[in-house]
Amino acid sequence: MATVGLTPGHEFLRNAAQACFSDHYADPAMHQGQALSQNLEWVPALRFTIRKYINVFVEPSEDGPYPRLFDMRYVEVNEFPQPIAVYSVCPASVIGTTQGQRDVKRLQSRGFGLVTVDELGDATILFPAIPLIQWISDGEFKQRVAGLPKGIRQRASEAFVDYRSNPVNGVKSLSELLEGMVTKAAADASTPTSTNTTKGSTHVPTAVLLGNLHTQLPKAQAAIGAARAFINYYRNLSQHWPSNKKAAYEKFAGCRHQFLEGLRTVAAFREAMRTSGLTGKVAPN
Amino acid sequence: MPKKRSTGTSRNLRPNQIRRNPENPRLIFRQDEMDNLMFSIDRHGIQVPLTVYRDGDGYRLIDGERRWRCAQKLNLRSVPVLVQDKPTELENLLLMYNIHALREQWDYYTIASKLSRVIELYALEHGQEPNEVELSEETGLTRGQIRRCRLLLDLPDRFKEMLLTELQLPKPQQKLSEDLFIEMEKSLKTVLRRLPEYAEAVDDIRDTLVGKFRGGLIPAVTDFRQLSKIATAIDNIGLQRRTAVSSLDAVFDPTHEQGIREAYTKTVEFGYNEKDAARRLQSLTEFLDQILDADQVESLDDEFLESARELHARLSEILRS
Repeated sequence: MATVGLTPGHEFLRNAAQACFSDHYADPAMHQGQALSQNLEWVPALRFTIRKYINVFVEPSEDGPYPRLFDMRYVEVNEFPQPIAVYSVCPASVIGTTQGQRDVKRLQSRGFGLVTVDELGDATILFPAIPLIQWISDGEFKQRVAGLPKGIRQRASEAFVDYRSNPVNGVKSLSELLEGMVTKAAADASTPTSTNTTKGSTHVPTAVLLGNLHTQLPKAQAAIGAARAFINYYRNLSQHWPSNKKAAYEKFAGCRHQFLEGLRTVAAFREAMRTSGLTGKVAPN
Repeated sequence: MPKKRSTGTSRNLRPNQIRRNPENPRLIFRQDEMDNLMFSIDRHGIQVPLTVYRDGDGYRLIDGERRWRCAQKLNLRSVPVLVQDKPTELENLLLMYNIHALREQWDYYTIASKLSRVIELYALEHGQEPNEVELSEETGLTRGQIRRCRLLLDLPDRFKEMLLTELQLPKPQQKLSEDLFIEMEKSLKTVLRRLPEYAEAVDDIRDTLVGKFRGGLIPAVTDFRQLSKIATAIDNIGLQRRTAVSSLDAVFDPTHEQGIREAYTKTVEFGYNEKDAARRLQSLTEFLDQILDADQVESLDDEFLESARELHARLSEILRS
């Protein structure tokens, strides 16, 4: 039996959003009021799948942009073993108020997307949702890069932008940043009289530079080892699209962990280089 | 009141085994109340069982549509229900009114939408239509509520559809309300009683008034009370009939950018204020007569005497001119 919306206004908003998403994602199969799984206690007003394994939930909210249900189900969605991106759909008129603006920021800070619907029933995607399991908030990112020099922060921010649109690319960008820091450390560590090959050069493999640093800087061996492990694992991270929903979930969840681990490794490597008397900066691109 | 029914048998059902009751007059559900209920159900479960009756291969709701909608949203596997005997159509409708209308605030359109059917079925069963008192007893509605419902019931269908379409929009996007139509209909009744020549064009007048309301020329639903006052001014303050008609013509003319307030101000506001002032003056005169009769002039305090002197000065000025 067909399910009904919570309110008639919800049905108006849902239908407008459906038309908008059908157009935006080239007509994916849409499910109105159907559960994704018996194990998830939320039946979204509308759901569909993009990029094979990303579930998109759409939930109308007529009084304001942030439905109460989002708080009620945030943890469950994050723990559910499939990637789920969630959109709120609200009337365009409700986002202009002070409370509306506050709610819009709350949506953005938690990784939800927003669609607004005007009086004629035309919907617009204001900002996109990304799978919540992949989500790292601006606040969390800023906290992780606080205290790093401007050059490293900028490169980390570029990696974060990559991460938001494609988490695999974001992790790879971060490993490239770490390689730049290794190159710079190798250059810093080289002396005119030195006969070793530590001098930073694009022609010298990063593994060799790390090996030399490991010998030269005994007090920084833990941080150098962590940087080596990170670069080894994530420099050539597979771009293959996962083969099923569970693999997709694990990949997205893994990327989040890896990106945050990468930021921690960057900070630890910089600190170790500084302690060893080097600049702890990054080589130019 | 409907006949006493059995309490029914208690059991658990999957929400998708239950269908909504098409006779439920309640068509409009508000998000804030649904959110609160959903939150409560999420925390504490459904504490009061839904009431259903067996209908074909499933069950039909008698009571609990909001809980049922929330249960579906929360993907509950089962909900507690009381299964009752299938009611007759009239019993079904009266149950809806008596279960819901007494428990929470309903939209008038919601109530009105099924009231005419109740009247029809009652007439079939009892051989005559219920009067207002009987209808009130059967449905649990107050007589005032029934009268307001009748104003909506008597609207032509296309205005009812206009209202329902509007009520189904998200609340922030609704411009027309039940109150608008209720106030408009009350005022039009008053106008037509005094000036029956408008009866023929009343649908066009409704369109114009709704259009002016949407366009902001009539900014508040309470403005319609001033429309009534223009019509009743003929009897109440001796306004010339042709002046009232000319003022109303401007309001009822879609090409004329005249709102109700402007028409009221231009035509009758002074007259009503004057009448009100005369009533107060009369009351003051009676008070002064009492003072003089009781020889209590010396009891009047300074503040009163100061105000009296100011009044005297103004009156002298007015009476001299």
